[in-house]
Amino acid sequence: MIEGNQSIGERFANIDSSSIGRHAPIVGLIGMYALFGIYTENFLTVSNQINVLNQSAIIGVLAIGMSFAIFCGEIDLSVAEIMQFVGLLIAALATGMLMWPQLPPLVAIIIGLLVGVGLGGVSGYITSRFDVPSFMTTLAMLFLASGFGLITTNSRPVLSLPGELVFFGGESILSVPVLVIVFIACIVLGQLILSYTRFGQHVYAVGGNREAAARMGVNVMRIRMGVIMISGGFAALAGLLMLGRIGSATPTMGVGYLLPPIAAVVLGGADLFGGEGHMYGTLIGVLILAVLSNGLNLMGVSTEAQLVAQGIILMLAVIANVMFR
Amino acid sequence: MPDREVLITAEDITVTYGEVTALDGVDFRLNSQEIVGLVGDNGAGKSTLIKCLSGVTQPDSGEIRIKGEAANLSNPRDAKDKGIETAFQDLALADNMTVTQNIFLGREEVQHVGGILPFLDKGKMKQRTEELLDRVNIDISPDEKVKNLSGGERQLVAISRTLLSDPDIVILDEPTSALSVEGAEQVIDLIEGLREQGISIILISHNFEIVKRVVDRMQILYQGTNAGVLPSDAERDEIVSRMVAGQPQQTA
Ligand SMILES: Nc1ncnc2c1ncn2[C@@H]1O[C@H](COP(=O)(O)OP(=O)(O)OP(=O)(O)O)[C@@H](O)[C@H]1O
Ligand SMILES: [Mg+2]
Repeated sequence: MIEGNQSIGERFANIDSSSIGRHAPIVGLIGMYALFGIYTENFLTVSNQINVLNQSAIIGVLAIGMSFAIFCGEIDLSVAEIMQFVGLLIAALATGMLMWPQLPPLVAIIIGLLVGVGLGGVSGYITSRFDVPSFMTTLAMLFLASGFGLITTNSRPVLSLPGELVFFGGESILSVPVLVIVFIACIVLGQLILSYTRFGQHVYAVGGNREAAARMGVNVMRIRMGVIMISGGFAALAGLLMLGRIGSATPTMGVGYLLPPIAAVVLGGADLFGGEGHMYGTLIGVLILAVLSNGLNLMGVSTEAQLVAQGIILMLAVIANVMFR
Repeated sequence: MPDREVLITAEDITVTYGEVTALDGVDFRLNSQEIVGLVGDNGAGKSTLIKCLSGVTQPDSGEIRIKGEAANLSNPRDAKDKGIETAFQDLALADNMTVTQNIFLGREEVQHVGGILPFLDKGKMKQRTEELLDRVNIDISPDEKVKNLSGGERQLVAISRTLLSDPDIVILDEPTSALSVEGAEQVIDLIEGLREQGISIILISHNFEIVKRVVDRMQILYQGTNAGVLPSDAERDEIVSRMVAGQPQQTA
């Protein structure tokens, strides 16, 4: 602990390795801002920054759900496919493609979100009830949801969507994309749950020491199931947002959306084995990924080289994750 | 001495872990306002017995009665609801969380924001934690993460956690094994203080010298079986013989 009457030198001597680990993500992000601010012309413009947020929002919403799982020592490998399936389901229900007559958009949205939560609940139940690693149950769910998505629209895209469906992912309020507003609201809501509810405390406790939590009367099964349900719910929300982002629903819109959310949570400084992390870290992790690709694009760096850069940064983050803890 | 109510009786408790029989027909009794020592060599089954009494482990057979009523302790909550609190041998602390969070783990205080939403009452929990830390006499911050504490401090956090709910019965499994001589003395003073407040205590240790000083009587376990109940002033050799051979000293 830092005493009041220490000299500056003593304070620096007191910075332990865990505080380096704690501040590395934000320092990294600021460093990138400085770098791209200097080396590109348009990076720091308001419109480009809104663009960065817009590009990161869907991965961000997935990463929020993923954070609950990872903080609790679990993982959800099914988020991209749940997102895709729920997007297709909402679109198919609201356009009458799945059954006639079509459902009002709001009803279709609610059904879609509940289906996401339900699918997460299935993986979560099997994980917690039979103590199967979530790695396996959500991998199975990945295949299931992928199949459900293809069945829902017969492997076809749904092209013309009602306005209500594209509102959340495609419209703007006072030139701020609704997508970004939803993302930021979810970050705040997520951290409120983690910091100020019993459930949130138990997520960290189960992630840190499952056996101790059980001995203290925490219902470990309920918590493990809960985080995977929440992850399914956020994946479903991402599915809704996706409809507006791309203006349609396609059977391949989930491709590439599994690993970035996991990477973002780790970049944000969460403990890979559970028990540590917070949503602001996840936000920073999401921004690191988005800023990196946006900045490198503006610098004219090729997509191939961008992948290499992302790989290096993630590798550094993983090393920091285990070293400074 | 006032009449002592029987708080806990355990009869014919058997616990097996696969091939291992950890307890084989053990009986146990705790009266009100009493400190009972549970001693025995490593692996004698002490922790297993108290895990049964705190709802962590369910015996294969046998009966536990609490205050005269048959008790089915199917999880730790059941035991806590019946006024039994335990500081476990491995402490069962979440290292990633703060002292306050650990003390309130599983029974966090909430306040209802806007009359409905249950939000954690962090101020109240911190204040209660300060009181508890004061009571066990350690000077650490309630906001310190448990992973930054010394072995002795962690032990005292685990003990102070048992006092949160004003329990009737406190079980302490090896509370002095991680402590210095001075720290152990502090725990003994604490145990005596708790007795004066009317709390009954089960004290587990394989250091019977410490046990002898505070308990009213001690029960000895030997390889999962009863090896007798002795008064606290029993001869040292008598205790050792029962601990290592499971039977009274052979007199030549
Ligand atoms: N979870 C478990 N799985 C398998 N065997 C176990 C388990 N817990 C305890 N045992 C075995 O049961 C027996 C009794 O163990 P227990 O922990 O109750 O002993 P103890 O008297 O508390 O010993 P110590 O003084 O080392 O704490 C030992 O042989 C131990 O190896
Ligand atoms: Mg033991």
